[in-house]
Order: sequence, then C-alpha cells, then structure tokens
Amino acid sequence: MSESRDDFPDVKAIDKLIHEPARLILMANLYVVESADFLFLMNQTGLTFGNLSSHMSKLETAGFISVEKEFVEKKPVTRLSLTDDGRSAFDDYKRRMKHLFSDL
Amino acid sequence: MSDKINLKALERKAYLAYYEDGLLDMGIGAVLAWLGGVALTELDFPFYLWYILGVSVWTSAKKQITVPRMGYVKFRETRKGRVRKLIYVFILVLTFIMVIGVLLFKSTVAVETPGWIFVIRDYGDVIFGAIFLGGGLMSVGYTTEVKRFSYYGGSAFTLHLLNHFLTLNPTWDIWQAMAPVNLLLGIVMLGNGYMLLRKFKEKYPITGEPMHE
Repeated sequence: MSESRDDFPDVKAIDKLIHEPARLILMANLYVVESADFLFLMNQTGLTFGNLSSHMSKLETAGFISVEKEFVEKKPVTRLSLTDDGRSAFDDYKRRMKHLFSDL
Repeated sequence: MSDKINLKALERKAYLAYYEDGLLDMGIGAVLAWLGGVALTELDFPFYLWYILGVSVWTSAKKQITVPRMGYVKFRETRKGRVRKLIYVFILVLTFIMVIGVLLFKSTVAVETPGWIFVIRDYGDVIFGAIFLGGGLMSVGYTTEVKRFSYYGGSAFTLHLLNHFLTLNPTWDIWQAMAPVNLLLGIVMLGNGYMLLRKFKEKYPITGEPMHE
C-alpha cells in the first residue's frame, strides 16, 4: 500500500480540508469574488444554512477564510472572503490536481 | 452539480445572477419609452431629472429587491474594470451628444448653416438611433455578458435603420422620427424586465440570513 502511494506523491499532499466537495465548492465560489455574504453563497452553492455554517467554521479555523459578522439595518449579515493563505492553498490544490491527472 | 469546476464559468454565473432581476432592462426601457413618449406628445420632462430619478430608483431597487433575495457580493477588480470602462464610454458618448446639441442650437442662430448640420438633420436618426443607441446597447451586452442586451442593441440598430427609410411623417424632427422605435423598444424592455423581475422574485424568495450563534 505504502509503495503504491509513493508512486503518487501528489495524492498525499492534497489538502483534505479543501478536497471535501462542499468545501471545495465553497472555496471555488469565494476564489472568483472578492467577498460574498452568507445568503449569496447559500444561493450559489445550494448548501443549506447548517451545512454552509459548519464548513465555514472549519475553513475559518484553518485560516483559509475570514468571516465578518455585522448588522445591516438590524439584520445579521455575514461576509466571507478568502484569506491570502486560503487563496494560495486553493492555487496549490488546483495545481496538484492538474498535475495528478496530467499523465493519465 | 457538474463534474468539473470551471472557475471562469463560476464567476460568470455569480455575476450574471445579479442581472436576472430585470431592473436594468426596466431602467433603460423606461428612459427609451420616455424619450419616445415626450417626442410624440411634446410633453416636457427634463432629461437630468430622469438621470437623478433613474440612478436613485435603480440603486434603491437593487437594495430593496435584489440584495435581500440574492445576498451581497463584491466582485474582483478585473470584472469591475470592464464595467468602469463601459461607464467611461457612456460618459464620452453623452458628452458628444451634448456637444452636438449645443452646436445644433448655435447653428440655428448662425448666419450661415455649416454643411454637417444637414447631415445630422437628414441622418440624425441613423447616427443617434442605429449607431449610438444600437451600438450602446450592444456594448452593454458585450461588457456585462448579458446576451439579451445585445439583442436589444441589434433590434435598435435594425429598427432605426428601417425607420429611417420608412419615415412616417417627413416633417418630424430627429427626436420625433426616432420616437416610434424608442417607444416600442422601451415598452418591450420594460415588459421583459418586469417578467424577469417576477421570475427573479419566485426564484429567490426573501428568506433572510438566519441568526448565527
């Protein structure tokens, strides 16, 4: 098993936090904009409030996204954006995934 | 969910979602219908009032209708840059039209009318309607990537060109000659914008952002 893994060194280096489908979609949506609020991301990703909230927390803990909570006209608004670390982690993820399949 | 993530398509989808509300169609349609209506009925409503009203109503409608349903997004510089360029082009075109207007007015009090005034008089509907309006709407379509604006532009170009050769009343001035097409196009855009707005409201009902812990 370990020998076959060594044939694919890039597989081991893939960030599992980003690789999870819902988080990958969330990261991709944030990658193409400067910032977006919770409602916009719910509409674009099709994730439920609970799902989005839990993935958001994981990515925030990893330092990949920054979350700002505020009230606009007495309504709660949560703005999300990719941090520099998050952006470079996503770039790295893209590069590794491309590299992984390039020879197939 | 599609099998692959296309980041450009994702960005485009997010951007286009903001034009699904039909507010831009309704805004431009209202101005065109007004231009046509005023020229035909000779009612007076200063253009600058439309500008002030239009911008404030559009901004407020976006805030009241679009953002509570769609949420808020800030696009990256490349996308904002394209829209900024379009605004510059529009300011340039509007300035050009104003300069032409002033020169036309001056020519009416001048002793000798310069030759180019006759070109404007005879082909003004083609220049302003087909080229400026048609081209302008097509460039909105190109910049925003909202295809229906290119269709509006193509229709404006074709209809104004046809209208030039089928002038209903040869005694009409430029604005009156352009009025039937402007009115028709304005009503179509208003109607289409309204239908889009209804669909948008159904697709994105107001749910608001749930309270976080």
